[in-house]
Amino acid sequence: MSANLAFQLSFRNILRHRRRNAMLFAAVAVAVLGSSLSMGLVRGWQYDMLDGVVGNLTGHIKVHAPGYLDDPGIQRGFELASDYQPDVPSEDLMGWAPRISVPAVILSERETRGIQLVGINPSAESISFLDKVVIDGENLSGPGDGRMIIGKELARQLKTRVGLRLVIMTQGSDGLTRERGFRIAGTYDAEGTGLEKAYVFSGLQTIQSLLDTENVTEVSIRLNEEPKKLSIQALLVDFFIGLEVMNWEELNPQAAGLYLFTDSIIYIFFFFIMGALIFGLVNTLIASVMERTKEFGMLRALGMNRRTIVLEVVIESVLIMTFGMIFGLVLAYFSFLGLEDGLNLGVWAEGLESFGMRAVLYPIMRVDDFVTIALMSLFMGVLASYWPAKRATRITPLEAMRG
Amino acid sequence: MSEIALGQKEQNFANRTKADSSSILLRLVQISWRNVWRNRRRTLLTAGGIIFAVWLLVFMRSFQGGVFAQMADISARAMPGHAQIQHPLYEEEPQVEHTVRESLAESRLLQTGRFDFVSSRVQGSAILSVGDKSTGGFVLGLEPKVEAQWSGLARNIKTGAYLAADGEAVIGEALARNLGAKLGDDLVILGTAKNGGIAAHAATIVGIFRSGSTELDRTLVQIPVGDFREAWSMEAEEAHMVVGVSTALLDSEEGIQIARNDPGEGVDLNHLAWQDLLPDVVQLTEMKDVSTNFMFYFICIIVVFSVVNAFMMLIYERTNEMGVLLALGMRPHQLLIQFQVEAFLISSLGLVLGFGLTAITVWPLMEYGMTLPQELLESYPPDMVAMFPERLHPTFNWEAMRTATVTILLGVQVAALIPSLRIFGMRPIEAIRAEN
Amino acid sequence: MSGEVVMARGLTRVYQEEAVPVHALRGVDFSLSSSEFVSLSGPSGSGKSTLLNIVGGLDRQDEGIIELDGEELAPLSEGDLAALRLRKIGFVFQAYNLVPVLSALENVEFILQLQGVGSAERKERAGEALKSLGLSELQDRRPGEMSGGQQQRVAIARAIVTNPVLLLADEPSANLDSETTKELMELLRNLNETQGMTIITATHDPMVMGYAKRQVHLRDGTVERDEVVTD
Repeated sequence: MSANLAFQLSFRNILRHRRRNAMLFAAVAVAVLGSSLSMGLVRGWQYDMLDGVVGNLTGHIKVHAPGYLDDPGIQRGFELASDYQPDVPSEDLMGWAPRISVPAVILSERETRGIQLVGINPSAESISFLDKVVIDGENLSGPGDGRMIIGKELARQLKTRVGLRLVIMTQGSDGLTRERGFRIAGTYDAEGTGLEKAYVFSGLQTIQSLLDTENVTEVSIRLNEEPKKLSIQALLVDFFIGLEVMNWEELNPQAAGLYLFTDSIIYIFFFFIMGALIFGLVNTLIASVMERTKEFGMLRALGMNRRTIVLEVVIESVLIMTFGMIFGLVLAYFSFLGLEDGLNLGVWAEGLESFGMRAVLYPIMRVDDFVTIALMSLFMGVLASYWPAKRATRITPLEAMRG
Repeated sequence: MSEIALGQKEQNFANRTKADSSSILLRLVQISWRNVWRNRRRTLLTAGGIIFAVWLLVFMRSFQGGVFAQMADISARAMPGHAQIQHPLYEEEPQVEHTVRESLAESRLLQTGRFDFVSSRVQGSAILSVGDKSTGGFVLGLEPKVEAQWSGLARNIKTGAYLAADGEAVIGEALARNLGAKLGDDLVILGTAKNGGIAAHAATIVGIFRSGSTELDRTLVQIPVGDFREAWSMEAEEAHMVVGVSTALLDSEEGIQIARNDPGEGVDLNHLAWQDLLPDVVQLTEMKDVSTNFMFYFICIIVVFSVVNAFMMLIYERTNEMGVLLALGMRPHQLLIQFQVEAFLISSLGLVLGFGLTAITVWPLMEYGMTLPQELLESYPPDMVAMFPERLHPTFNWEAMRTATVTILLGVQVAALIPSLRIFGMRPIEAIRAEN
Repeated sequence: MSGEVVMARGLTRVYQEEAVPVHALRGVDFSLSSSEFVSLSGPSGSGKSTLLNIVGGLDRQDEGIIELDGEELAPLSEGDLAALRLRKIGFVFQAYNLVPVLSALENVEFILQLQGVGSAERKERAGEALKSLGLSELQDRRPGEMSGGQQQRVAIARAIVTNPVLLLADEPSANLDSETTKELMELLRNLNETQGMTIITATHDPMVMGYAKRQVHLRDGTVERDEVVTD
């Protein structure tokens, strides 16, 4: 009953000072909008980073022979049954790709570069960045394709172009050097020049025959949902006995650390913005309490207990927060719709790429983030009412009558 | 007659008012000051948001500025140096024949009086082999005695030692792994010489480095410049670049000027400052600044709303007082001045306290430096973390302080103005009777 | 130039209150000569405050003519009216009408400052005004540190320091006890008698009325009685 009364009083009081409370709503809305936007952008960056790491030939889970990571050569390959299918529930599996990845040298007429030579089955590479890159010329037609695709930047450095032949040198399974000419089928543009300089792709079977092997050096598996990686990793460990089955966090601990740290960045943004807001909220609530010294004193004289008065102040604070928050979330929702085509950060592209980001950032709106912001805002509302509520309880009927 | 007399009276009145307007202004300032002081709690709470905004911007920018300046300096000292002079075409087309004359380029850098170390480099791609294993790599010929004194890479030798004599080579850790190389092994280098023939050189691996950059660790070999010139059939004076390094930390603006300060001589050379050599570091700095500014401006908007709100309360409380003053013949613009002065006092207080807080938090860090928390390190790419120093020393960012001052002052004046405009529509009789 | 301080003819004033027009004044004639001490009385809604406000240049009539010190008020702009109030009228309102952050002396000085009086003259005149009201010892106190009666006396000092042609007091006793009211009214009478100050009060309070030498009683927006009191 007293809660209901407190609610009524709070609500009417807010209505009484519509104009100045409108300012507070606006401040709360801006704060919530700012928090949501920064959260969405950071989330976008986080997803982008994960996409970059996972798409960067890693996948969510990768299988290697033991020792391959320290000494990446075809000697550290393993045999994969020709009818292999990962033992993963099909609704969880986005795709999988067998590959050979070995260090190699590429030679043009005048230039030499060290690269990573990767034999692929092009149709399986829908799981990696190759699916998204723009290719000038043609893509590889199948695992037996004897041509290659190279990065645009590498082509520029080697002063070569689509249709020309370059020699690739690498070590065969017997440890001896192999040399073979590859015609360039196409060049790919992967935004980040790092990938473009490092990876040269050809057909998996072509590379197998060049290296004189039936083996592969890795199987990369991509899932539909990242959080399932651990349970599925466990399934695969049972299947690939004697091989290393690692998830992307184990393969790239720095990126994983960064991914986790991103979550705390989100909260840092939130607390900075809300911290600034709380001053204004406390200010208004205190003024509102002081203005009502008479009213509170009278209510106390009539026998209202302290708890109800505290409740009234807390409810007033939370109500202001709630109205502002709802408005802010609606604004945020429309801002996200407006940013659907991404936020172009082209000016800082180079710096961002070295930071694992792309030039266009797509904010990501997650319902659970919105819920988090909403709950934390309400908590802030309660927090902000502490001091004003304390002030209100100190009002005695006598003091109020005198004032 | 009486009208003329009245007109003159008005005129006199106007003159007196004008002459004494500064005294009125002083009185208005005094009233404002006392009101600000009388409502200490509200003043402090309103200033609180401002303090917060100022601290955020100046502290974060100082912190990041200092960290990035150091990071940039360390990146520059890791390999590229603070400035380079190259053949005008070399940056776009790094071909072996695009060289500069060593003595000319060196004298140009030395003329600036800014560089303590100046030395030449030559570089090119090659096939690298150890035993029967081969891979592609990048060979850098340099002056070991000079570079050993400043190069970060020279300090990151994980096994063995840095270059000391001809016939030696140091290689990256991942490259050593790919080649199965260990200390004492012979490294065979095969490239394309300046004359189009084969450049061949054999060197003993005396050191293996871990630079922090995966790309360098995977591809780079360093050998003495003389060995390189000989193998690539280059002449003694030829260099692809001359590198200048200062023992002092160069600030960003200065770096540019040093490099672009062309003494003339009619020789066309490409001068690169460290900003040109490390564009990604520069952009990353800007990006961090942008995200801090983004937060700052959001907080400023919140502060503006809070100030509007505070002045609505303040004007509401003083309705009676204002009504009386208006009835007595005070003009609305005089009341407006009073509120504007109050706003100015509040924002000044916020700014002063904000800068105080910033100074208190930045000074110790500037003096004693700080170690970076592990979580923060993890938010940077490993390549960069490797370049971070043990202790970081932020530098006070005066530009951020200017930005904060201007934005807050303007924002608060406008915020206070909005509710104050009510004064112009205020009717004294109603204001005096208003209940509050 | 007439010798009249106030000359009002056929004043009407209609307020629009929530669609119902309220006739505050319905054709009031009123004039006042120099050195008169008049009390406007009448029940709430009789129009006494409206008349006082129009005379004081705080409100405007809808019809009729009002002249103050020979000057017609209707054509004056808001700015001119404010200047006129500043020069010619002294106001005393109900209590709590001083600037709370200024001392008694500063409150009195402030009005001279608004008039553009120089610093030395200002101090002297403000000091004298306070002295004449027996407030010299309180001149450095702020309103919060004075009693209601003391505050009201400071307000009178502020009203007379400019040598106005007319002193207006709207319910001057509203927040005062009878002893203090008496002191205040003695003071006003003294001002009227010794300095020839022209005074109008608007009040319900019979005690205040009793000090005036002419009583104008309003009812329903018209003058019901206008009589000179003889002791």
